[in-house]
Amino acid sequence: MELFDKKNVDLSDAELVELALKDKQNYRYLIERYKDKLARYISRISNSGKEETEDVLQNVYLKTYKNLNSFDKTLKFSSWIYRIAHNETVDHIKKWANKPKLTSIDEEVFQNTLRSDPRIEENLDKKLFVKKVGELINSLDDKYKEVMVLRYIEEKDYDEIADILRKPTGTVSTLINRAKKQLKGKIESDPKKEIYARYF
Amino acid sequence: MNLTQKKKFMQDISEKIIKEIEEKNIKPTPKAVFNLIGFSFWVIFVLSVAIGVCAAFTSIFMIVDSDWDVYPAMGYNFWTYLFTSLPYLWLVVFLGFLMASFLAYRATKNGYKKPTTLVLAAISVGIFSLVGIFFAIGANINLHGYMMNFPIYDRFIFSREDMWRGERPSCLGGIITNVPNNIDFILKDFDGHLWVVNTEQAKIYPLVVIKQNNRVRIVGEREDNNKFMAREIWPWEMRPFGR
Repeated sequence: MELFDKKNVDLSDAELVELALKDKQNYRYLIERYKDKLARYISRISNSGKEETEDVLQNVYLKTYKNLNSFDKTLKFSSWIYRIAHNETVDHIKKWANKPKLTSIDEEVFQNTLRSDPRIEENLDKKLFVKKVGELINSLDDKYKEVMVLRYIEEKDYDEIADILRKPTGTVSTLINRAKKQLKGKIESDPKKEIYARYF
Repeated sequence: MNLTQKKKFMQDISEKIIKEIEEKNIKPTPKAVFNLIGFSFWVIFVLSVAIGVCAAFTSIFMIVDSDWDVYPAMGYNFWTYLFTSLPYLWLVVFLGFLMASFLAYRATKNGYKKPTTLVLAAISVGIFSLVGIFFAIGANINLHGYMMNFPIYDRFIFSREDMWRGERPSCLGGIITNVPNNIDFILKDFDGHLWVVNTEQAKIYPLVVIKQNNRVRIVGEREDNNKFMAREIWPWEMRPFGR
């Protein structure tokens, strides 16, 4: 049996939800579409390793499946599933008292997010910079870290972040501004702040 | 985790989830359940607003209905009287249900989109608008009178009746039970205690009718446990909303 019908791969999220409600096997299209992004997001927010991320991701998808009938088509499906992922990750962090501790940085993604620099001799500096930025974001208060990750790494707009976190857009804007101030303060007090100056 | 490991991890998870759904026979929760949950939050919101309206009405009623006409004779200054007579219990009930209505609204489908201050302000304006309408049409949703039927309520509220109980030596309130002559009358206070009230030197204010079953407020001096020398006699109901 061919599990993947290629014509379904191009359907919209709302259409895939309808398909999944008709036949649970069709749920895999939604899983495939979001698994990479959600795994990265969960890993960044919780700083979990592979196994923990998989556990949380599994819970996210199971919860999403159970709640498929509550999906509101006026909302983006991505915002809705990110909301579930956010809530499950927060519950996981609280449950395991898993305070953010830097284990590994997704350097590949940070590299893609930063401006590229063709100067080869600065590769080492760039790796250090990526590590530093990762440390900085991880050191933010949880409420600031989650909006910064959603805005600058997941590249969500303010309305999407508001839908994910169930907060007014104004509150999201305030949190991002405060997060930037906190980041700026940390950069200013960093003895190696010249690293940031090259890239900001 | 390198790229190969990542790919394998992702392929495995898709199968794992579908398998778990099948093995545990997990089904999507019916839409009717979510509709019911959504509706419930709106019901809680409406009920919270309704109780908030009653609590606000009762608070305003009790403040307006206080003895603003006679508090100086009772020995209070404005601020002392104000802070003594505020209906703290009903103000707390009002604030509690204002918060409950806010939280219920926040839990609705799109309730998170509006700023907190705007939602609280809108609910407050809504509550006080409804209170204004009830006052204007003369509707009585004052819960204080109803709650006075429950003894436990008396422990948490300092009401007008408490102000005029025979415990305060210069104040006495109650119902006239008998008028034996032109100078004295018999008063039953709010604890059921009987007093002989002498009116020989009293200033009796307009609208006071010394007659059986009328309620009055008396400022004066207590002579003993049963006799009260009146200095000023006021009708019990002398405020705009007296009922």
